[in-house]
Amino acid sequence: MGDAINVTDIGIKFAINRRRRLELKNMFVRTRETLGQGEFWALRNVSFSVGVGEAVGVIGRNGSGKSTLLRLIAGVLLPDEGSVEVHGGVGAMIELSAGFVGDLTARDNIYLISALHGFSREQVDARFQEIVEWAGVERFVDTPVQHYSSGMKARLAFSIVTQMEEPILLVDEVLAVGDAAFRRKCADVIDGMLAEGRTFLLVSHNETDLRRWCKRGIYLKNGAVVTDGPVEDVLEEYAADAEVQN
Amino acid sequence: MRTATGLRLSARLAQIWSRRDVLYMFISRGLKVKYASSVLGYAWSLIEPALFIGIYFVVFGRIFPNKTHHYPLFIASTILPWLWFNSTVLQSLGALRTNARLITSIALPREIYPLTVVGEKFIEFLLSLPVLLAVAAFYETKPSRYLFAFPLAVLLELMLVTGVALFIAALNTILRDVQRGIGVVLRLFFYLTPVLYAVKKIHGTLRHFYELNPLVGIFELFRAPWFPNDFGDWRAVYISIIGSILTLVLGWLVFIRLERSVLKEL
Repeated sequence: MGDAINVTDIGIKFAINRRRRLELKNMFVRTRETLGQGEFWALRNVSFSVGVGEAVGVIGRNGSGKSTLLRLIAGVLLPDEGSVEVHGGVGAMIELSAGFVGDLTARDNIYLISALHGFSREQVDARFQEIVEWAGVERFVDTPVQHYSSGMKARLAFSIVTQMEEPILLVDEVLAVGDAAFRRKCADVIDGMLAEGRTFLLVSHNETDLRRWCKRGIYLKNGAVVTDGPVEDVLEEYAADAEVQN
Repeated sequence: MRTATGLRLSARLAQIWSRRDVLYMFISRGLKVKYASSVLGYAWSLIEPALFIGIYFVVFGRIFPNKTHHYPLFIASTILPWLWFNSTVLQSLGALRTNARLITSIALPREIYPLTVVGEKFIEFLLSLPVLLAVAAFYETKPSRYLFAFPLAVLLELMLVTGVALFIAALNTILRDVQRGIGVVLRLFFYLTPVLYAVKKIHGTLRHFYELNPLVGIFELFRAPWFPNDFGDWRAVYISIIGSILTLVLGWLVFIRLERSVLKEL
C-alpha cells in the first residue's frame, strides 16, 4: 500500500497580532525562511506520511497547530516551507455550516453545498432523499435555513458532506456538535467510512473518539511533532505531559 | 502537490475551468439574491443608469453651456460601461473577505470569488443596455459603420476589469486602506476617462499622457458607433489593447503572489 498523504518539512508562520500593519515591501519581497517582526511559526519541520486506509488522530492542546495542519492538507492554507502531497481526492469536514445561505431554502442549499464539494446536479438528485432523511428535515425542505435551529443546520451539513466519496477524509472536531443521538448517528457513519478502507485524519480532543477510530496518533506541541505512534501511547504521553504542566 | 512555491498560470487556469460549474452557480445565486431581495428587482438595472444620464444631462448639458449634439445619447453610450467598471471595482473589494469562512474550509480555486463579481457585474451591464437602445431610438439614431467597435470595447473592458478585480480583492484583504482610498481613485479616473466629454477636447502633449489610461481607448470605442465624428485616434485603442492584457496578467500575478498571505489573514 502506498501513501495517501506526504507531509514534508512543512512550516507556516502567522503574525501574533493579526491586525498588524503590513509593510508593502514584505508582501512582495519574499522572506519565507526568517521571521518578520511579530511573527511566529505555527508549524515547523513537521513531516509524516499517512498510508492508504490508515486512520490517524491528531492530538494536542489548543493552539498547538492541529487545525492549521488539517487546513494545510485540505489546501485552504498554503505552507511557507516544505510541501504537502495528497494522492487522491480530499474531502475536508472543516466548519460544516460554511457556505450555507440563510435566504435560500434547504433544498437550494443542499445543491449549493454539494456543488462546492464537487457533486454534479445529477449526483445530488440521486442522493437528495437520503440526505434529507438522514438529517431528519423532510418537513422543512423548502424552509429557508435561516429559520433552522443550529442542531438542524448541523445535521443537514453533516448529512451533505458524508455523501462525499473522496478516498481521503479530514475531520476537524465536527463531531463535537449535536446531542447524544446525533453523535451516535455520526459515529455510525464514520465507522462505515473506515470499513470502506478510506484514509482518515481526525483532529479531536475526545479520547473515546480517538481510541475508537484511530490506531495511530500524532501529538503536536507548539507546532512540532512530539510523538508519532500507536494511539494509546500517544494519548498516554499527552496525558502525562498535561499533568506536568498542571 | 502543494508546496511553498505557487502554481503556473496554465495549471491554475485549468483548475478554475474544472470548477466553472461553481462559478456559474455563484453568479446566478448572486443575481437571484439581488433581484429577489428588492421590490423593483431587474428594473433597478434600467432605472439606475437612466437616472445617471438624467443627472449628468441636467448638470453638464443644461446648467453648464454645452453644444454637444444629442448629449443624453452621448452620455448614455459611455455611462453604462463606466457604471460597469465602477461597480465591479467596488464590489471586488469584499470578494474574498465576505467569503472568508467558505474560502478557509473548502478548497476551491480562490480566483472564483473575484471572478464571480466580474461575471455578475458583466451580466448586469448587458441587462442595462436597453437603456442605451432606448435613448438612441428616442433620437432616431442608428449605429454607424463603427458598430464593430462595441464588441471590441466590451472584450477589452472585461479583460481590464478582471485584472483590476483580482488585484483589488487580494490587496484589500491584507491592506484595508484600499477600501478607504478607492473612492477617490475611482472619481479621479471618472474624470480622466472620456465619459462626459469627447477625447478631442484634450489637446497637445497632454493628450499623449492622457491616452496612457487604458480606459480612454475603450471608451472611445464605446462612443464610436453613435458619434463617429468624435472618434479620436487609433493610438489610444492600441494602448488600451496592450493595457488591458497587461492589467489582466499583472492583476492575476499579484493575486497569486498575495494568495498565501490572504489565506492566513481570512
